[in-house]
Amino acid sequence: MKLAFIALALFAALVWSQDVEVDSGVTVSSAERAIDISSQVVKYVTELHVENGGKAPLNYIVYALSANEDKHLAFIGATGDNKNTALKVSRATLKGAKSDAVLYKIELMSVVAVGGKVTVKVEVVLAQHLKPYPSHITQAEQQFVLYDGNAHILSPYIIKKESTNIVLYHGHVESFTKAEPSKLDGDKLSYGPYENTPAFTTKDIRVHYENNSPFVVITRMERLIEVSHWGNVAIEENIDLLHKGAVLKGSFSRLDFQMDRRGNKQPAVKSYKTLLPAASKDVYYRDEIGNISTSNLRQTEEAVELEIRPRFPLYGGWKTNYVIGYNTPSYEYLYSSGGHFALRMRFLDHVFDNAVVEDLTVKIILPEGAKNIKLDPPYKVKRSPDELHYTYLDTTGRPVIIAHKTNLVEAHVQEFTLHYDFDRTGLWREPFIAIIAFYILFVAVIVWVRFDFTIASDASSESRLKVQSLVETVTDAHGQRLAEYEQYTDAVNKFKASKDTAALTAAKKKIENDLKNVTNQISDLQAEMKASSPEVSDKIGELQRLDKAVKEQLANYQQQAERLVGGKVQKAQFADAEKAFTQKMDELKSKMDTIVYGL
Amino acid sequence: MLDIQSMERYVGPVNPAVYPHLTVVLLGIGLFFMAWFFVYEVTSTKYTRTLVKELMVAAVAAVFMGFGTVFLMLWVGIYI
Amino acid sequence: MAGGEGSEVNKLLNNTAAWTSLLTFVILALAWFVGFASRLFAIIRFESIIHEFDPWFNYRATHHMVENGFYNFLNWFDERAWYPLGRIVGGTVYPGLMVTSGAIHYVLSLLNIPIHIRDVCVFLAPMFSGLTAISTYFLTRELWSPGAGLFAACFIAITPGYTSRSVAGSYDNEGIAIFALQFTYYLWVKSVKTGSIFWATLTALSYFYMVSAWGGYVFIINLIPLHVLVLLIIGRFNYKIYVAYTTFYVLGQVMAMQIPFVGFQPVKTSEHMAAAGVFGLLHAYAFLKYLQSFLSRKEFRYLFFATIIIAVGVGFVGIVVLTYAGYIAPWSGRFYSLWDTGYAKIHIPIIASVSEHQPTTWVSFFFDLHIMAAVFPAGLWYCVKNVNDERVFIILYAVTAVYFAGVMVRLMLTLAPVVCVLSGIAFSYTYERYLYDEGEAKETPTAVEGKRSKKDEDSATDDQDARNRQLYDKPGKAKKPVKGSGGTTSGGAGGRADDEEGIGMNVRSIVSVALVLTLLMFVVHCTYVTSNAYSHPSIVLQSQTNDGSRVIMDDFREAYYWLRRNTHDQARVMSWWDYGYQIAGMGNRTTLVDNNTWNNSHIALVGKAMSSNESAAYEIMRDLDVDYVLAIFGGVIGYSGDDINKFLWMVRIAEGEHPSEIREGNYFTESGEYSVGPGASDIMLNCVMYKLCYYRFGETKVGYQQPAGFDRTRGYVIGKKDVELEHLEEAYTTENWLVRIYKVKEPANRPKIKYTERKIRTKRAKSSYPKKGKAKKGVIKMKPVVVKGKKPVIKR
Repeated sequence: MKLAFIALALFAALVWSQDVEVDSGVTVSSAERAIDISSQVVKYVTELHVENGGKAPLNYIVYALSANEDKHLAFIGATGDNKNTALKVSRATLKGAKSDAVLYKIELMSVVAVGGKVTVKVEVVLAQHLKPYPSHITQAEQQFVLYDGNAHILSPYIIKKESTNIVLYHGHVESFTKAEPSKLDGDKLSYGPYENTPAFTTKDIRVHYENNSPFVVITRMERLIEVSHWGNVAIEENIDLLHKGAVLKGSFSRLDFQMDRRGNKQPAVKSYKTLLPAASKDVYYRDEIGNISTSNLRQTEEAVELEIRPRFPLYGGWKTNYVIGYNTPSYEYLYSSGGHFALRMRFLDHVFDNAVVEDLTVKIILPEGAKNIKLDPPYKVKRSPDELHYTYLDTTGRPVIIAHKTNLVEAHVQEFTLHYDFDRTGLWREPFIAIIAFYILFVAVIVWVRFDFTIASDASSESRLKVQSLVETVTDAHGQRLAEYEQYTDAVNKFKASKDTAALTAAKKKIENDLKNVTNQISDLQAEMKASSPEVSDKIGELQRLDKAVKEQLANYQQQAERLVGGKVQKAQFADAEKAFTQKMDELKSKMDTIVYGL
Repeated sequence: MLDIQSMERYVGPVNPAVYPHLTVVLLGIGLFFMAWFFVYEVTSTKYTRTLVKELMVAAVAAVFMGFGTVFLMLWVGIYI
Repeated sequence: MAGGEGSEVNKLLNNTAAWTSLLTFVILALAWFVGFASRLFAIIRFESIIHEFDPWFNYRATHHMVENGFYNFLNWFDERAWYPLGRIVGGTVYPGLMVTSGAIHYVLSLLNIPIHIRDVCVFLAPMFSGLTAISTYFLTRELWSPGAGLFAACFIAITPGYTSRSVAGSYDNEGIAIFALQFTYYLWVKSVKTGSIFWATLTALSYFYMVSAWGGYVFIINLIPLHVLVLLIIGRFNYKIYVAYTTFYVLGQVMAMQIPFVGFQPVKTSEHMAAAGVFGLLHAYAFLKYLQSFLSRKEFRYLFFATIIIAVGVGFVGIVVLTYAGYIAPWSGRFYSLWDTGYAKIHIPIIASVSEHQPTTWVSFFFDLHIMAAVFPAGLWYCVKNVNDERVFIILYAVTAVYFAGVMVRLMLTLAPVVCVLSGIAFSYTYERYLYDEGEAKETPTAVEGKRSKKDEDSATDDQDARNRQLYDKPGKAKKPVKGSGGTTSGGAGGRADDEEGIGMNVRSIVSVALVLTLLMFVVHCTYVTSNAYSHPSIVLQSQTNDGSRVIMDDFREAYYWLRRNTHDQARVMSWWDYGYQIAGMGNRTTLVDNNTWNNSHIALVGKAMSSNESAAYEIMRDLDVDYVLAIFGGVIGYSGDDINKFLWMVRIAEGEHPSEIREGNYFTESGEYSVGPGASDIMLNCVMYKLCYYRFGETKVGYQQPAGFDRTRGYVIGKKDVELEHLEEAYTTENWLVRIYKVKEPANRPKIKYTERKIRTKRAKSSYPKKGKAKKGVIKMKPVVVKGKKPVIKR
């Protein structure tokens, strides 16, 4: 009841009731109505062939629904000759109408001239119009429901010829109101054809028949869409289900359930299929207490079929709740043009066939920094104020757009468009925050290491540290020097081969220069250390002495090489001299090494 | 407000197929620099430390680790 | 200059101290990672969910804290447990676990990292296992050497004795308590070594965390005084111990009393009296030592013995008197049963019925410790040989832990850390001797640590101290690079002479390789055990079909979710206490008894209800306002942990409180066996538990070849197949019949008996309303007219 009033209020609030006029000359030459009550929703597809026999051209047609049906109205839509364009439908009132029918004005695409004809197809979906009767059944019984309707098509116009076909569920029909001519044939019930029905004729009919299709209503659904500019749109749906068929009376026996031969023809809901978009991946299906393992995923060309089995079968009056989520790539739904983006997605997606959603909330989370957000819904929705959502690497929060709608059916699976502006360089903000976070950590370490928590300063360890640092510099310098010696030896050897005096002199000059610098550096350091630690300074002194010896050796060697080049000395002699030189060098080097490592 | 027909489809800046490789490379380099930074901190005394070197190494390490973490999150499925 | 750069890199590569610290860090990081990863089997196989029973309560409490704030948690009175008594959660829980996860969740949410509290809880134990490895490293480093520390850290990261209670999803106190234990012990050893107030205060703070985390803190507060006492006895008293223990005792006890659950126990229960006694004794001893400087030797000896004997005597007598007077509570049942193992079975059957409290078998020792069970005595021996103050501690820890682990399986957990430490010491010692190469130059004693630190021959205690002192230094000086294992080219100090026991090269390599292989097998065993034995969520069951594909049986969650969604919010569910926490956590419904088992009589009532026939049980259920009854039944799938197998414990516990109505013997067959088959006694076949489990089971067949009513778990056909229920109605049974929920029906309408057939005929009152005419029942037409001062008269 409450639901019906909500639907009513919504429609009333949204659509100003407009005044219409019905010309008595306008007639419906023939009308066919197909009623489908094989599932939990009632669908009317009425095809009206209207003839304009009046005096003025016709731009709209008036369609009527009984007050009882209007209470449960979920969707009304009309198409004209062009099947793809929807005609605008709005509520209307008729001056001086005696009936309590609710009228809808359907505006035509093109005006129908006097004497012209037009065909209009009207689709109406009623939700929760079928009443389970008996309202409480035991586990073994079948579910029977009542359908209250009208044998005639309710219309403000005179209908010359009309007929109604009702498709029922494959099952037993308990009773139906006879209104000649009416015929029941298996699961099809037909009323009519009737001729020359006056306007607003009603003949109440009631069909009491077996309907074991799932009567599951989604009492509350929250659809969360998160857009990430790294190329992904994540969707999560939180669904509360309630079985609104005949309530289970008595006990539930697992044994009877397992032995039940009725299979899918029982009123309890065991499983159903949800269709997800074709490129979905990372699908998860869980509820408050964890993952639900009873599901099957099947990939087809057009969609991903997820067969869901709730944790327990749903009997009348039983409820459950679950969460489904998946990722889709952004190129399916997100469009861009410079800094302007548009998201086009379905407002309501397929949950299961013939679903009824009592309350839908759609939340769309856009990346941080999105501005000028405009929502363009496919039908009237109620907007709540925008919120902010904080998640990984967020500082100012992500804008969330919230929209509500009540009483939806499968016909409401239509697309909305969301426009917003986003600066593309804003994508850099996220790695930037991560970098800043790490940098702060490192700076904290740098600061921490500089803290000195000792209460009394320990002079000896301090000086030891100082000496250590100086020694390191000395070691560095010594290493440099060794490298220089290598270079020098290489230069001389090269000279031996190439006999290029100029190169040798040039190299020697450079090396001598560097060596001088380094040796001076070491002497300075030695002087510094003399005060604090004499033994170390002594050792360095020794090092310097050895260094001098090395220099002598090198000069000697160079002389020998020059002599060889000049031809003043024999090769064999030179070879001896060279060997002696190498040996001496190694000795000196190892001595120096020992000293250095002993520091 | 532009018409959606005139817009082109939006694709993310980095191809998801390279997320694993990028993550490993960036995090590897970042870890190397981070190790260098920490070893330097641990083994240097107050006389041998230089602030400039510390800040430089830390900056490089932070950059690589930051990017590596972002790609790690994208690889794992947290689309930030 | 090219030379300059080359030398820079050279220097980097030669800086062994830097490499050592990097290597240590990397090894510890890997130990953390491996410890974390090896606990994730259940998460990967199933999902991130809380396991078992107790963790569900901890999770629910943490959830409550996160939703309602810390003070509302501390003052929480849970009316949805132990109906109609309720439970004072704030005062009966150790809050450390909840506070830790709550704090982590809070910090993460401040950083906008949206991790659900359930995931924080599930992954808390693996994270803390890494921290435990690190604290074990520090502890062993203080006791022996850094190399031993690394061994011990790696051991404890994967040992099954610890993993069993800290798997991801096992959100229980032990997960963080072992970390607190090791850390407290490390700080205690550090305080004993340095004698500084700073370290002793840190020990007290860590002890406070331990007290907030686990009831096993009693172990610490008895082990540390024992350590001090033993040190006094063997004459190793020095002022460092005095400073350390007094600071720790005072601060630690005061802080321990801040936990509401502990309250005044530290000064009023026997478990804490040892600490107080040693405190007094230590003061007496220290005072006497102080006096020693003033008195002559003979006088002093006389005074010493007299005072000590008086002090001990007074203290002991004082404690005994206070215990008898009632001011000091005697040892509680849980701890007393560790001493007298037969006590629980007779007096406290609830404690005896828990499977974790049974004595340990030899198989468990090997299963949980593998090679360490054989190696750790060697480590213990080395500690005894090279004893000093801190090694006395580890020796005492080892001895007491071995005793307790032998008494109760659950306490294998406290044995695991010390076994890892001692095995680390043993391995390190062995490797240091067997990997030592002859050709390497002798190092001066100022060289600092390395993974294979060079040891002098006379390494014993004195050199140990010198080395230990140096271990605290910053790693500074570059070490001489080892130039190959053969001869050196530097011609430095000659090769180490063979003044050691001359271990040949072959023997060394064989032993080293053998030990490495043993370690490899250890790792394989640990992983195998963790994967197969300790990673069952027990909320989800798994089996395999004939073609090998996995079948998951999620019956428990199916039932609890059904309860959660399809019963009214205030519904009360009666079940055996095992499932109380799970029903409260997942089903979110009020329970009668749960795993806390604090009220034995209430549990006995439930047990009595389960063991009586339906009418008697119905009375109890109406008394307790029960709406639903839940039973676990494994007969269809062969699950052996179901209620029929636990039924005898229900009877025993009920018998303990109601011995006149329930007698265990009545539930056996004539030959004295426990059976539910045809030979079972009538009382057994008519009790509520039997009916709950076997209602309509007699019509089912579990397999094509089996007869109807064949119980897979028991292995025979049940005794009574046509079970009828009068006051209960089957509400829900899960897919594999594992959980069966029954609704308690309202009392039946009293039957209408015709007036002539009644036994007691009350005078039929004339109805004040005429049966005919306008004034029908329900219509107020003949209202009495009220006139002040007069009695109202009803006009007819």
